[in-house]
Amino acid sequence: MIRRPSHSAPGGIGSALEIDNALDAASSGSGAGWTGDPVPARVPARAQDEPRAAAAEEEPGPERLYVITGGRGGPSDRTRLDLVTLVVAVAVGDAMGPARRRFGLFPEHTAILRLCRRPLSAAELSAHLRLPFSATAVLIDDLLCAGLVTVCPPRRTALLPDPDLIREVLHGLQRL
Amino acid sequence: MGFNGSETLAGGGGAAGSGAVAGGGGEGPALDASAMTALKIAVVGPIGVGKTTLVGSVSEISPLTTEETMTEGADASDADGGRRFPASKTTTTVAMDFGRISLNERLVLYLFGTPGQERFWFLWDGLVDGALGAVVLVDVRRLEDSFDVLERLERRGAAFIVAANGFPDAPVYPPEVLREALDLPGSVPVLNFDARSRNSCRDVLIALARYLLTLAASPPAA
Repeated sequence: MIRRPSHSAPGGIGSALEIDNALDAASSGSGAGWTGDPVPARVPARAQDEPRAAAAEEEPGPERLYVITGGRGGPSDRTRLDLVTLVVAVAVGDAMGPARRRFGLFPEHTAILRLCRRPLSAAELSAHLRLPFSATAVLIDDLLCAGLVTVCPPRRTALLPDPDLIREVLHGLQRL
Repeated sequence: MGFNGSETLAGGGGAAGSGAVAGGGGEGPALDASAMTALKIAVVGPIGVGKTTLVGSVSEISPLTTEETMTEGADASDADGGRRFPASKTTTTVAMDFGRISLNERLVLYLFGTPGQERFWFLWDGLVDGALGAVVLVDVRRLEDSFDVLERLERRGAAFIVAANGFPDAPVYPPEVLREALDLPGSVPVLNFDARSRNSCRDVLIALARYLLTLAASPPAA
């Protein structure tokens, strides 16, 4: 077993280089030429990956992402969406059709409204829609601005969490 | 070892296409309508250490995957009009697997499995910050793969515990031996566990919660 050195060297500069390498590899399409760790780009499907690979084919391409986000890289400054921000649709019921026309919603917007009849985290929405998190955040922001959803931001726990909250977590876990 | 193969279980079962998802949360039980507070715990460690297995063992939903794109630094490319096509060659994509535990009718806990390599750490700004704490997974056969992660968490002042996943063909070391090898203070919980066992994973989370409680009760000197 290798011992961890008491003061291992921080890898600040190395990380930038690694990112560059990863970017180069990603830009070459399949990651050809990248000989380090696997690049987090799409990799060729293997047998056991088939469900995932099939789904990947349905994922929207960059053009679609550009259209639905209007080229925005993230939500407006005043909305800070966390991975676990809970999103709930404001009850629109039959008004869905009018709302879609009035606000110029994309099908992705209405999919979020459908998914959020019960609270759902932004991360889950991103997963179900198979959209990058930042693109999902833009869509949620649109709906928030249109008054079609409300959000519950997560508890920011800072460095020292509230003991009562932790006790609640503990009790919940003990019931699992 | 392929990134998808080792780290990303088939997320949504492949059935839910874009925009074609039926309501109610897609799969698994829907969250209680009164769910109001979401918390998160980061599960960090090198590829293949068992992060997704742990998440899947305790999650009430099949592990899902969210992706994020990393764009290269600030925009120095205003020559092209300042508008940049998304997913151009200056972006790369990283996937994170996550699961969910409804703790009670209003409190929901999310577990995020995050790759430990440095080039994924940009994700952590949105993850470790604001998380209750972190579970660092280690494989005793390649303990050194987790050194950087520990370093990073220590520098951030994040609360974490260390859990060694008991692979069948790996030796088992007492926690004190692991703690010493990892150069961790005696206060940081270190335990052995089995990522495939729901009870074992639950015990890891309980150990983290207990540790957080001790930290909250006796805050370290500022």
